Amino acid sequence: MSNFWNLYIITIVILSLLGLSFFIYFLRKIDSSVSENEVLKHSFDDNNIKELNKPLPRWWYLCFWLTIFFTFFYLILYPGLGKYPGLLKWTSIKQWEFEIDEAKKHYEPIFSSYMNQQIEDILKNPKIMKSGQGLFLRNCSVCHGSNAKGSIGFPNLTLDFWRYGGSFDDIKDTITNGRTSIMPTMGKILVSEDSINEVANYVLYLSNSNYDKDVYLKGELKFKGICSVCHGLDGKGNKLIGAPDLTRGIRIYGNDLKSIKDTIRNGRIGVMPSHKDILSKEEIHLLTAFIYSLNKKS
Amino acid sequence: MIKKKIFYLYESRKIIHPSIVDGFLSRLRNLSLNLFLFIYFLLPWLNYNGRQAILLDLINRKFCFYNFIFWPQDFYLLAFLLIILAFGLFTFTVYLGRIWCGYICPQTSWVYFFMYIERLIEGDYNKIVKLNNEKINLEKIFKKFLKNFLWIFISFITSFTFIGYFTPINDLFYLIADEPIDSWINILIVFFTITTYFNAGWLREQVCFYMCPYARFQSVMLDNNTITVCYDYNRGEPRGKYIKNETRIIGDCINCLKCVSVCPTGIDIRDGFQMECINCGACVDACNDVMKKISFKNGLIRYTSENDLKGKKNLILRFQLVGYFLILLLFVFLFLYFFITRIEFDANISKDRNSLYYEIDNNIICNDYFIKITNMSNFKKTYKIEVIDNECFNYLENKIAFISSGDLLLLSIQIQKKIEYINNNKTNIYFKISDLSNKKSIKFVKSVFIYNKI
Repeated sequence: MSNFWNLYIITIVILSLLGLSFFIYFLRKIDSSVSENEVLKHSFDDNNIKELNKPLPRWWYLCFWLTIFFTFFYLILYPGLGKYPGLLKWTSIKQWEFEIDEAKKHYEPIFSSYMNQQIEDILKNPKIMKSGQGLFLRNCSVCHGSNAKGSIGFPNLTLDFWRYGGSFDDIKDTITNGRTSIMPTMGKILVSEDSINEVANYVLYLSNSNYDKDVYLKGELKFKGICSVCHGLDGKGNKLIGAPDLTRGIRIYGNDLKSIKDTIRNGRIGVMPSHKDILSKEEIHLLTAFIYSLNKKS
Repeated sequence: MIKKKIFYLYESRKIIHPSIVDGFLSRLRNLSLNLFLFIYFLLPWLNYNGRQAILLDLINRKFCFYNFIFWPQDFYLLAFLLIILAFGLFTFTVYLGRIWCGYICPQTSWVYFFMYIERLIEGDYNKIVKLNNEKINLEKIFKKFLKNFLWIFISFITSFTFIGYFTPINDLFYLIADEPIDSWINILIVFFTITTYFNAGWLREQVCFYMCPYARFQSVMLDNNTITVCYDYNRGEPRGKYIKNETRIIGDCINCLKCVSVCPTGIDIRDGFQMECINCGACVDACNDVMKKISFKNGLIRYTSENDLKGKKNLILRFQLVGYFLILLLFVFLFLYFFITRIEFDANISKDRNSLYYEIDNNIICNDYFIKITNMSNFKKTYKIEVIDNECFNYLENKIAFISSGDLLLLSIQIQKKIEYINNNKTNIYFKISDLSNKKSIKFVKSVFIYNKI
C-alpha cells in the first residue's frame, strides 16, 4: 500500500466516523410543525397507511453511540486504519497458521500412533483403513483411479502385480521416492516391422494369450537376445530395475497385439512422482498400509 | 404561519409496574404461561431407550424425538413444520388477534415469571415505586440484591435447559466443570443467561415494541372482524365519576384508571386499539371487577370486534381466515404424508470425478461410481445394491452392505460394459438400493455411463 492510499483510507474511515457521530448527535431533535402522536403529512397506499409522529426509545440512541465506541476500540486493536496493524497484530495468515497448528496438535498424535502399531493390527482396523482411503482419494486417485484399479498407462494396484516389489517396505519406497521406468525404443534395433511383430507374438505367447503360432518362434531368439537383458530369459522381469513380469498377462499399456507392438517400437516412459515433500512420514505409512491391504484381501 | 417547535426523536422509557389483577382471563393466562414454562423445563429431562428423548444434536447432525431420528436429509420436514407454525399463527391472528402474545409467547412467560419474583420480594406496584424512590438503605440494597440474584438464577436455569436441548443434559454439569473457561458451551450458557436476564428483567415490553417482528406483521393481519380487546365506547362515553345512589345519565366508564394500571404495556385501552396491545385481557378482568363492585353490567372492556362495536354483523367465514385455515390444513396433510412415506436411509451416487471412463481390456470399458449410503434408522441394517442393466457385468464387489445406525458407508463401484453393447456416448444407468428388513424402503438412483464412441 503506497502512502497515498494509506492516507486516503485513514481519511475516509475517520471522516465517516466523525460524520456519523455528527448526524447521530445533531439529528436527535428536529423542528416540526407536527407535534407528538399526530399524523405526519405523508401517506402511502392511497391514504390508507399513515404514520404517527412517534419518538423512538432512548436506548436506541444509546445503541448508536455504542456502535461508534465499538468502532473506536476495534480500530485500535485490529487493522483498519491504512497500514496501522493494530495492537493485536492480527492478520488472516496468522489466523490460518493458528488453526493449522491446532489441527496438527489434534491429528499428529493419532497419525504417529499408527507408526508404532503392528502392520497386521492396522490392516484389521476398519477405522484406520477408512482414513487411509481418504488419503488415497486425495492424493493417488487422480492417476490410479478412485478404486485403485488404474487405467491405460497407470497400474492397477489391486492385482498383487508389482514391478518394483510388493512388500510393505517396497511400496513405501515407491511412494516416498517415486519411480521412473523406461522401456527403451526398440524400433531401430529390431529394424523391420516383421521382427517387431515376431517379438510381440512371443510376448503374447509368454502370457498364454492368443498368439500367431507361425511367427512366435522367430521372436523367441530376438527376445532372448535383446529383451532378456531387462525382462529375464524366462520373461519374469526384474524388480531391481522395474522391468515388468511378462508372463502374467497384465500390461499397463494394453494387452492387445497392437499396443504391445507400439510399446516395442516406440518405447514407454512411466513416472510415479515422489511424495516425500507432499506427505508426512506418518501419512505415507498409513497410505502404504491401505495400498498393501488392497492386495491382501484377494 | 405554521407554528414550529423542537422535539426530540428519542424519548426516555416510561417504566411500567402493572398491578395485580385476578379474574377468569388472568387465571387462564397464568395457567397457559405456566404450562409452557413447565413443558420447557421438563422436556430435556425425559428419557427414551436409554437416551435423551428430545435431543437436537447439532454436532452429529442428528435430531432425536423419541423413537424418531431425523437427519439433515429430512430438513424439508422442518420446512413444512415451520410453514404449519406460521399459518397456525396467521389463522389465530386473523381470528383472535394477538392471542399468541398474551397467552403463549415465551417473552410474556418469562416476564410474568420475573414480575412474580419481583412482587414476592418488593411487594405490589406502589411498594415497588416507593422503594425505588427511597434513598439507599440496607433494606433497599438487600431487596434489590435478592431480586436480581433470583432473576439471574432463573436465567441460568433457563439457559442451562436451553443448552440441554442441544447437548445431553445429564452430562452438562460435568461439561461445565470440565473446562470452565475455554469452552463454547459455557460461553453460550453465559450468553443466554445474560439475554434472558435482560429481556425478562429489564427490557420486558420494549422487546415487544421495538424488537419483535411478529408483533409488527400481526398488526397488519387484523381487520374489523378480528376479535381483540376493545373498550365499548358506545357504553362508556362520556366518562364521569361514580356517585353512589345517583341515576347515571352519562356513560358507564367511571374513570377509575384500573385498566391502565394493570396493563403490562402501559397503554390506555380506552384510546382505542393500539400497536402495543398484546391482547392479554388484564384490563378486561380489572374492568369487570370494578363493574361488579358498583353493580353495573360486565363487559365494558371485552373481547369483541370493531364491527360488533359499530353494530355491524361480524363476519367469521371470511376469505382471509378460511384461506389461511385451508393452507394450514394442506400443509398439515403434506407434512403427515411426507413423514409417513419417509424412507429411513439415504443413497447418493456420484460418478467418479477422476476419469470419465477407462479401458481395462480390449473390449471392456469401465466407469467408476461412488455410492454413499446413510443409515438413518435406529438399528443396524443390511442393504442390497443392484444395477438395473442387463448389459453390465462384473459390477459389484459389494452387493450387500451392513451399516450400523447413523453411519455413512462409502462404496466405490466399478461397472464394466463390453464395447459392442454401448450404443451412445451417454447411457443412463439405474441403481436400486433396498433395505432388506423393509420391503417398502427402496430407492432408485440414476447416474450415467460414459464412453466416447468414435
